Amino acid sequence: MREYIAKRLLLMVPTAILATLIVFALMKVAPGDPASAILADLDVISQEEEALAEAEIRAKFGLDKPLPIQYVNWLGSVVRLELGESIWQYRPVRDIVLERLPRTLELGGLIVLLTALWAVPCGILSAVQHNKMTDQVLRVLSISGLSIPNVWLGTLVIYGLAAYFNWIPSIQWHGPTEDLGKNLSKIIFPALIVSSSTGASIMRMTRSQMLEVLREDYVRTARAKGLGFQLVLIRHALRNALLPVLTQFGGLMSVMVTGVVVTETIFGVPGMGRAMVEAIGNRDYPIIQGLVLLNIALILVVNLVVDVLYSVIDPRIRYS
Amino acid sequence: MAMDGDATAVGAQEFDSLPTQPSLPKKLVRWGRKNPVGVAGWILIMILVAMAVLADVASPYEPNRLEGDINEGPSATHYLGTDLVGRDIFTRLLHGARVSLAVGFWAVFMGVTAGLLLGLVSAYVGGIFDLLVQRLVDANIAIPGIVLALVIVAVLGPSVTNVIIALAINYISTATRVTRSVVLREKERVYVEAARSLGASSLRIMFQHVLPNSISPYLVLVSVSIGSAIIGEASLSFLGAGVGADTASWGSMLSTAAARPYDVSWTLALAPGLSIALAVLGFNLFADSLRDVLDPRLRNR
Repeated sequence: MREYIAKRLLLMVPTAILATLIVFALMKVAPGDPASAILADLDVISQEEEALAEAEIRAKFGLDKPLPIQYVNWLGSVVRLELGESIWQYRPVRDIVLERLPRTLELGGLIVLLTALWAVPCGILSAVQHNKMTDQVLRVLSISGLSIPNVWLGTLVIYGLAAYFNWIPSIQWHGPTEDLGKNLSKIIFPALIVSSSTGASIMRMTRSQMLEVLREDYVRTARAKGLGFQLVLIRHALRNALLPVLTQFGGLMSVMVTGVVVTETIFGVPGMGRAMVEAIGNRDYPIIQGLVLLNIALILVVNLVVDVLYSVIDPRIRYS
Repeated sequence: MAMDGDATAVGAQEFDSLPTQPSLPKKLVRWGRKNPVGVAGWILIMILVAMAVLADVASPYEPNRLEGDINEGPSATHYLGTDLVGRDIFTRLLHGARVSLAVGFWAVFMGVTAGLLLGLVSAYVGGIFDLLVQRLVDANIAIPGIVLALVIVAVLGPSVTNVIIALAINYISTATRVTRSVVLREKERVYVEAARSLGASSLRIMFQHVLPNSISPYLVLVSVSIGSAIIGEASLSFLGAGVGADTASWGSMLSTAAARPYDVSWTLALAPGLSIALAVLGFNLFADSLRDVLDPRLRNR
């Protein structure tokens, strides 16, 4: 087991390096660089002064070096846990991550919690009531949840709140320790909206897994020897049905970091997704690269954790 | 192969009584009768296609001209009112269908096709090449789709073609993985061995024998992905990194409504979003039913 985890951790390194290389290469093909983007706002200075200032900014951030050296320099700052330095904010990307990650994790945690609370029980109910009225209604709900885009739900909620309650979420951000009420009023809507689509897919997965497991011989045997339906459902069926659902939850958690880009933007939550959009607009390459790396690392680690949890829940699964 | 008369007769009889595999058109007709839900999806898709094709003929106004007062509610002159600068919402809605359909179809078609070829070659060639492709696919899957698409549109600039490219890349890796696993299974089958023993070249075996047998998962992947590509386009346009300000898009229409909720007509918050949802629902319903016919094994994906 320990050997397996070590092997997986080692395999992550080339994947992460390859992924950051992809993003690095993309950023370098982009027309316009941060130096000219910074100076675009200052139209008072003359051409020569602008060229000088641009060269100075490039030199300061090492943008004048050959590309491989720029990449290696960046890797160095990753090893020093600085993740590069933001060009617009004059501080290590680490500081930006430390400021914004807790907000996104709070939102992401709430999404996962809400999803688990409604989607898993609904999926089980749907499977138990297979092809009955409840099942049909829940299936229509889940396919609607998959089809209604978050951009629309978000717009509707914002528009509805403004039109009927004359209230829109405040621009200012309050941390949960600072003012829990204001904090929740800002993140509860994006959390509910995202959980409608994530929940829909979790519910479909739970339902189909449950249906499969309920047909298994060991479930029939357990019922035949006189065990109650609820006991069989929880002790025998659920435990086996939830494995693939767990994988899907793992996928959910890992896309949370930058995956809530749209809802963070609509509701003005200054989290990681929002930071990403701002950085792309400003051509602040170090932030983009830092956030992508973090996201990749998180996805790889969560996948590993899910695989390890597999063998905890299902002792038949052994890794060597 | 017949050794004696009796055995052949019995064998032939048994063979006749086995259900034969029906042809694809027959399967589709049978599918239509059995799946009213799939037909409903098909109707929604056809409405979307009609909107896109007839956009120029059916539009009462020009999509980008200022045709009336700003933020008007629905009326006989403007069926769905006007937007923040006075453009006709109904006209822009019809033209938005074009963008959604074009991006949804082309992004998925290009991405999944590229993935199909890559997966086929990767699985068939094997070795270092296969390993390299697999690592690239892992790396690609580890970058969240919307983020990669945002970066690509930032690099290439906002336009319909660039949004198609940005979204297409996200479908390559999944398609590569699925095709690879199917081909790895197929290439161990007896018919491949038979073809090789008859002297068929690797290329011929790959494209003439293995490819046709890997086509079901391809169709399923295409049909289940189009809905998500339509949502992808809407999200990118919503974030201002989409098809550009001059092209009417459902996503960018919604972003105006979300940014100025106190000013815009309620139709701007409702109509574009409802259109996206119905288009995506159409593709999802259709894909769901199609998948049961083509590849029951993929039902849980």
